[in-house]
Amino acid sequence: MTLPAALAGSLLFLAVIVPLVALYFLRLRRTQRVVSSSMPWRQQIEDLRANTFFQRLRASHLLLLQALLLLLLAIAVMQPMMRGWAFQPQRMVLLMDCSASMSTLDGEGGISRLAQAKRAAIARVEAMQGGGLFANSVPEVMVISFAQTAQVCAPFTSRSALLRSAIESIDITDERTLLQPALELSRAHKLTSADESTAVPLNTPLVIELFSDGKIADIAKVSLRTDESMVWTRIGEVDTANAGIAAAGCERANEDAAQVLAFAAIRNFGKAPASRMVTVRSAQNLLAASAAPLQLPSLTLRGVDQIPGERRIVFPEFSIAGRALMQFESSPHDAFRGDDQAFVALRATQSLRLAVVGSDPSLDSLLDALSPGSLQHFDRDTVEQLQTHDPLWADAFDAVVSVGKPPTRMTHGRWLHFGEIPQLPGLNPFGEAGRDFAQSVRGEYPALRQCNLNELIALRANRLAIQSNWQAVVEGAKSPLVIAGSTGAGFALLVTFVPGDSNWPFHRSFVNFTAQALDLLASMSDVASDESLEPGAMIRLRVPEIANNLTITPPGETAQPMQRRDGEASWGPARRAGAYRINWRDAKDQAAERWVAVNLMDEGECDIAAATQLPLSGESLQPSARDAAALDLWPWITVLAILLLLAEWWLYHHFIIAASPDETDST
Amino acid sequence: MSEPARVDQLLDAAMVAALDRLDVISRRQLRGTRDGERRSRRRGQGMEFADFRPYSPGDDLRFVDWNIYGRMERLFLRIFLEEEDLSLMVAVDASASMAIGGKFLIAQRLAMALGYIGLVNQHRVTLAMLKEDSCERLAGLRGRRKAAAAAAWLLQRQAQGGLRFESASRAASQGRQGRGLAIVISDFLMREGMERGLQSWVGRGWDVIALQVLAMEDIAPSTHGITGDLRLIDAEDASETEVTISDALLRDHRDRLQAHNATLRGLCTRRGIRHIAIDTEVDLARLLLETLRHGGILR
Repeated sequence: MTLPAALAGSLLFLAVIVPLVALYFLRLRRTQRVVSSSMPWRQQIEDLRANTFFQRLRASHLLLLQALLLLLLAIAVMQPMMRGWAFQPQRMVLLMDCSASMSTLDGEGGISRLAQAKRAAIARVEAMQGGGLFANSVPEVMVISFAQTAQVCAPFTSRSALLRSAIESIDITDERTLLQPALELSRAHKLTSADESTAVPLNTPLVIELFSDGKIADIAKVSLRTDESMVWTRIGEVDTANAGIAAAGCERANEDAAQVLAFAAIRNFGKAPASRMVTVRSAQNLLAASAAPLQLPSLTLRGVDQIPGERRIVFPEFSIAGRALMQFESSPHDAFRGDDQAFVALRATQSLRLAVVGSDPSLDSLLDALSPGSLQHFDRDTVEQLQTHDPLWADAFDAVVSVGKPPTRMTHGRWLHFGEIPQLPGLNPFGEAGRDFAQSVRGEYPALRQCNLNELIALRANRLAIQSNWQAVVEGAKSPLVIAGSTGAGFALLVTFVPGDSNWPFHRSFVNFTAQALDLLASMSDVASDESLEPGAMIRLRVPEIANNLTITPPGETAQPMQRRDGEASWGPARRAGAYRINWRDAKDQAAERWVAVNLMDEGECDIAAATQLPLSGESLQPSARDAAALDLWPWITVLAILLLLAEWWLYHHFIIAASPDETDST
Repeated sequence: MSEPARVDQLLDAAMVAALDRLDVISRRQLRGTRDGERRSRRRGQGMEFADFRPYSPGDDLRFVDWNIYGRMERLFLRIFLEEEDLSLMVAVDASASMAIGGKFLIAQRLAMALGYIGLVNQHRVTLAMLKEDSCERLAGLRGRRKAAAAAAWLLQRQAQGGLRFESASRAASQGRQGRGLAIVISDFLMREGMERGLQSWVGRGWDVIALQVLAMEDIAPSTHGITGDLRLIDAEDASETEVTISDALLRDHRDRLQAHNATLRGLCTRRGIRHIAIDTEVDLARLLLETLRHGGILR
């Protein structure tokens, strides 16, 4: 029974019962009869005189039938629903999955799984709040939406309007699904209540109702506590198929930077083969397309693993000189649109501009091999002079590589420095560490991908302590070996030893690190990155020192201001996949625009077939069958009302008319 | 039922002929003020021998039995039952409730018949109409020739207004007619004063016969148009009672009426009052010639 339905039913009853009773009494025409004595009558009337109104009602079977009929109709309008004698928890957390797979349109009438989950959750809330006179104490419910992260939509409360509003306000994301953050959030709020005078004990065992399709990445790591129990309402169908873009990329040709090479991978998660056309567009212009629909093999089983069918395609080269947003699209679309398109922000043809301060043979040869657009060598004194005249000298380069003793001023520009620790805020050097080796590496850091530093040995590393504006991306046994952080108006990657004082130049990781570090630094300059983000990631972008009206426009939304700190603009997390446009006006009041691509490539989310069970806490959690037990009562009540109407008609004709043919009907 | 306008509407010729043979029976030997045709407990100058008693000085020597004196040489007086006239009062409830359902007409006809019986038997007949807290009375009737006057008087009476039975009975019973037989005709549907009213008759030495006349709509209201939603108006005090007739209500009404009648019968039994209940559909000839005779009221 929804609140509007209950209100409608109550209003109907009140609106009709009062006029009905009033008309009954107004239209009641009593015939006057003179009797010998009212004594035999009066005595019994006096017994009932305490309530004349009730006496009249009692005497009128017809009015009572009419009132009962009206009451039944009002109840029918309220659309009551019987859910049997299910256990009614005192405190409950509704976990609403709003991850990417919940956008699948496999509900009745083509509605999304999230919409189905909202309906089920609202019905659950109303079932808990219902019961009228026979209801137990109203339970307290908290609503948490979760995907990669979790957030409280409604704290523990028994106010159904607030709960309904919170559930309705949940938006879909394109993030992957992690249950653990949601559980931790619910535990953190376990002893709280939004209601000032709650009657529910706060230490009541927690019942968690999960509204999800069961595609949860960390479900194997989740365990419930002893005072927790979970009920899973499965949303979505277990046989919904999906095929979409698994990977997309664009690269400029080495020979001609204006020529772009695009490639993509398409995956099929369905149990039947599928075919997809793939196109590449930029600004609505078709640049390339697959010659024929790609025939995708079906999902195959290898042991317990499910291997999606996959095809890769490399498109013919096409020519784009400037910066562009490339849109990959597969068609026809299926129930899951999240992976039917992908974006790539393509760099401009401008080549990398490098400055090198100092000298190291292995580094020099490597930089030469990388063939940047321009490579200028400076000694340290020259740089000092140049910076004396132009403090923003380093900003003229996409990256500055320095070796040995650092320049005095490194607060502007993007630096990759090897050797002695520069004097920058947050850095506290304290001598040499001597021989050191890498102990932990943040492999996910952009400059350290595919860098195996297990065999790195630095003979003369510098020791330092860092503050919070720096992060150690490679920790040595004695001191950080590689750190990254803001220099004020610039950014620096600092390696605490000179390559020549280590065995690093003999490892491939040195090449990977240097190339990726330069790429990272260049991405912070005017050269946009072609790297795409995953949903849930923060969007960070180096912007010029003067960048006014800095805004970001998420896909399908309006422009929003971006936070800016230390020369880096940030916004996020970017919860929806798509192309995010960033705009600002530079020092010359010229409009500048960048694109950041956020693509859904998560295999767990793209495999949209709803789970059949959840391996939770070592047990197999089966989906709840509560909805199957729900029974709408209003059709039965309506039938009862009709039968009552017939009974009243029969009563009227067989008793009232027959008994007093000369009397006018009183009602 | 229209009001009677002529004497024959009260008492037709056939009925008169039948009544000529009847007399009222009083369960008591009553003393009248004038010689009548009834035996009295008083020994005196009647024709019927009662007993002997020894002579005492001052006794009337005409009643000495000289035959006994001749045989026994002692003086004995013959004692005769003195024949006295009977004082018969027929008191009719003339309240408005008697107008309902033809009860007053039955009461008028009964009063006329019983009065006629009294007149032809040389009793002193008094007709009384109990009304409000007093009574209208036509007294001193004796002999057949007074029947016309009695009938005319009855025809002029109407049932209207209320009745305080206790006061009216007290006023009627304390008249100078002397003790005798009182026949009280009423529906006895009174809320109060019934017991004290009847007691006032008995207390003043009357041999009382209570003739309760009920209309059919008093006994079975549902079959006489009392159905549906009604505003019942009491005929005497005009009080209103709104009812919606139902089976349960009718059952309760019937039970309460029976309880009221049982109360009346018990009251009469305790006071030595003969009680006879009739309804308005009764055959008057059959009532007089059979019912009342078998009930020991007429002979």
